[in-house]
Amino acid sequence: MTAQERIVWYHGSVMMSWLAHLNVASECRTLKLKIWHCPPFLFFMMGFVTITAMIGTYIVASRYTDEPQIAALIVSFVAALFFVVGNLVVKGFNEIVEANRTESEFVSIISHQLGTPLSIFRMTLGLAGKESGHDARPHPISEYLKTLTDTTDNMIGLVQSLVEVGRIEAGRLALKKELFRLDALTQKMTEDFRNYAAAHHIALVIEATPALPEVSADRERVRMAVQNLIDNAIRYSPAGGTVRVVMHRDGRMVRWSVSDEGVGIPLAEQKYVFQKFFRADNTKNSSTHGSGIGLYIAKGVVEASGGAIGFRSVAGKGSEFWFTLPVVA
Amino acid sequence: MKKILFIEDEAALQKAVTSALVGEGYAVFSALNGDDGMRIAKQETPDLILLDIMLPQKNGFEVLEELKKDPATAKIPVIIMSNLEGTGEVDRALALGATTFLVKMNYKLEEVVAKIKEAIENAY
Repeated sequence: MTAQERIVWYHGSVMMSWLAHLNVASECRTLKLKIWHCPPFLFFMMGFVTITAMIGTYIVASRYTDEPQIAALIVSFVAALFFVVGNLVVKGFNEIVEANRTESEFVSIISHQLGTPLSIFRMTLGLAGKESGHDARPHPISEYLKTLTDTTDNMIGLVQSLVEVGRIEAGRLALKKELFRLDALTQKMTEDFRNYAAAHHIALVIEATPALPEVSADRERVRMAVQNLIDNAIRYSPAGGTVRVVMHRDGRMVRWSVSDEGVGIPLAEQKYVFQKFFRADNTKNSSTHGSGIGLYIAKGVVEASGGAIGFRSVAGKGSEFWFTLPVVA
Repeated sequence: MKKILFIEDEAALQKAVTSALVGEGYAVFSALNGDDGMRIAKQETPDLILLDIMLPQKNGFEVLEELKKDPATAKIPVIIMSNLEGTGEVDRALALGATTFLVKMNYKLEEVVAKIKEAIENAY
């Protein structure tokens, strides 16, 4: 391939990648809207109509220069068309807003309604565990109770996450301002992750520059975000891979990142990664069982703490997720 | 024997917590609504009150307000135990004089018992 061919090939692939982002049909399917109610499609149509009208006006006007009323009629027609399409766009946006509102209310109601019965399960199981513990003989009921307790705890964890989603959506995430070091926090959690990583045959590597400065954020919520990101990296990595956590100072921020050699995220789905309940198509059939809200919560917490969050990913090769938090002044 | 009053409309939850507290040597009085809770609080003057917020008749905030207004019950420590976890609810309960606010879903039975023990020990 000559140098010129390489340049043409490069520009061609950049154009294809840009066109992939313009895949309006798949975007409308994701938004679950009819094609004539879907804003991305309607904007595309508006652009198309404008260009066609401009070319048409030019051709007509050049033919009938002695009858300007025809050109005026065409312009009026195009303006009327814009008005109709504009109305459809607004209607489409209203539908999205309404769907989001309904979904948020649904999440909030479900999470609160589940809270009470789950509390009853947990407390009653706690009592039953205590009673069965009085019997010195090993009994299968103790095992059954442990299974039920663990399952209840998992369900409570999920409901607590839904409550957190509700807080983020309502903009009432009350964050504590605590000073702590991200490397110490990560190192402490890594102890818990060693067995989990070993079970998946994954090597877990932690690297931090010495004397990393303290950050100011809500320690427990950041811990949850770190846990979620490391958990995802291990969960979606094939056996024999390496998960690497790196921390360093980046100006007035501390940058934390985790990279894996896992399944990666397909390009067309990357823009939805931080949306709630998102799970990439290439992970839905895998044996893992994520709820798709961990990254949404992590984004809400990091951004509300004055930091930023992002990722880069290549399908089939792996991903790197990172976030930054402000250094204490 | 220290006395605890538990005002909670979920009978199953009340039974579980009550059994655990009785096992720890406390005398536990139960009420399924705010009015009964107020009546027992005045009659028995317990050492601690565990109070839910969403209750039939009087809600938990009204009960708490009444308890803190009455000199006979004003000094009794009150632990709120609810699944309403908004900052508004927590702030309101603490402003009305509650000792602690426990989100039911976030605590195991033994943790609830430990919080109750701690509150009783700190009060006397």
